[in-house]
Amino acid sequence: MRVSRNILGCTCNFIGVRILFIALFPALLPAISTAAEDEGGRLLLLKELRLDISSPLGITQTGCVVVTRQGDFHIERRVQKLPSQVATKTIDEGSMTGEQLASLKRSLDAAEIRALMGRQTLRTSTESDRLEQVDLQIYQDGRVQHAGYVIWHGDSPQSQMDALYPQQAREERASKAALDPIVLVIDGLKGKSIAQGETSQRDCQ
Amino acid sequence: MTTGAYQLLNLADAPAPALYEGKVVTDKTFGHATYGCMICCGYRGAFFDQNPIIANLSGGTLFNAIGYNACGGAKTFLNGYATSWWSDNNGIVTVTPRTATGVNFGSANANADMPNLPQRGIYDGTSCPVQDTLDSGPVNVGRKMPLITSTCTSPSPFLGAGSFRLQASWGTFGGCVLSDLKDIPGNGKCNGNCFDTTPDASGHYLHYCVSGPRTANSSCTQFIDTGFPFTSVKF
Repeated sequence: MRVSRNILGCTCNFIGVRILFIALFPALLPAISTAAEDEGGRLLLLKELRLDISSPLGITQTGCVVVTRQGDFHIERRVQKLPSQVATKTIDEGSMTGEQLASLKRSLDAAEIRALMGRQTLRTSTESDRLEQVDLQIYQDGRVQHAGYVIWHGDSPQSQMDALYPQQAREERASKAALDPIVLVIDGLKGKSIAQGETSQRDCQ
Repeated sequence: MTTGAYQLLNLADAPAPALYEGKVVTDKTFGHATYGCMICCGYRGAFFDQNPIIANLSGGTLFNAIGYNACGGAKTFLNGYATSWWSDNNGIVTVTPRTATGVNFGSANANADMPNLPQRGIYDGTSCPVQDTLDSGPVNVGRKMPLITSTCTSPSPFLGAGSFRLQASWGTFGGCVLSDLKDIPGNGKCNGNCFDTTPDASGHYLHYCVSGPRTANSSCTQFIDTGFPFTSVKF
């Protein structure tokens, strides 16, 4: 099994150098940006938040997944179940099969996903008791493009997303419907559990 | 009035106060003043008002050096007596007067030296004895997390009738997010994500709401601050 830690770590270090280089030589920005994406080898970064504090046994889940162009993946997850005040953190790393990777790339390149790129998601509400938020960053054509959604449920009929922002709420649900198949595939990746001291959180930043 | 006591306090809590005598006007109509020698009230103990002090990487955290007044027992600020403030590990936290600023996740100690702190005891007609006093306490540096959302449930599933529960999540999307809850006794009803107690005979009531921010450990698996933050405002 290939381990993606070194590849992802190189990405983080290179970004720092790139920022310095861009500050010194801004005219070289496009070429450097493309080179960085190629060398970093990152295909996507998925960030997820799901929280439900509508019940005494509320659950808070955060996740972050990095997949490289070679199919190596790094997954960080935290799960907290109230009333416990402690979250459990897990890190998994592994590699997708060639077939899985090819399928994922096709999905990312689909027209309905491209149509979501750059869309501004709705703001969250401070009065929601259930919240689901996804941000998919796709490294494509030398750029990082975002597609995501936010869906929240207010704790009263007056504070529902659909009641307050009906048009945006429809757009958020349409984005979720388009992204769900990809998120499902990524969330289903199974890797080898990694001890927390063996990797860096910066892999997911 | 022939006898009595009053307190004279140097509000600047300066290390070398110039106050040395007391005079009080006891009859403003016909003119009468009473003189008396001041007695010294030092301090018992010196500590920080937060233990531990919770700091983060995104700004300074204010704290105070305090002690107990030896005469009345009241907590009193001693910041003015401290001539130097420092951290025992500047790689974790830096300390300047009344401020701790996180540099990296971890724990260190904040220190404040008070070389001339008036000490305990009451000495009629004499100066307070001073002593070089070191105030020291732990500082934990973590992740600062703003409030994302909160809810109110009444009654609390844990306490039952005459209570309510505030439940909330703090953090940032794509970063660290944690939740917590607080069960509080009180009759009333939820008002959005806050709680209003039943008004008393005068129509006054308390309005409880979750506040923030909070601080988590470096791996974002638990809060490192103390207590569930909420406000209760009387209307």
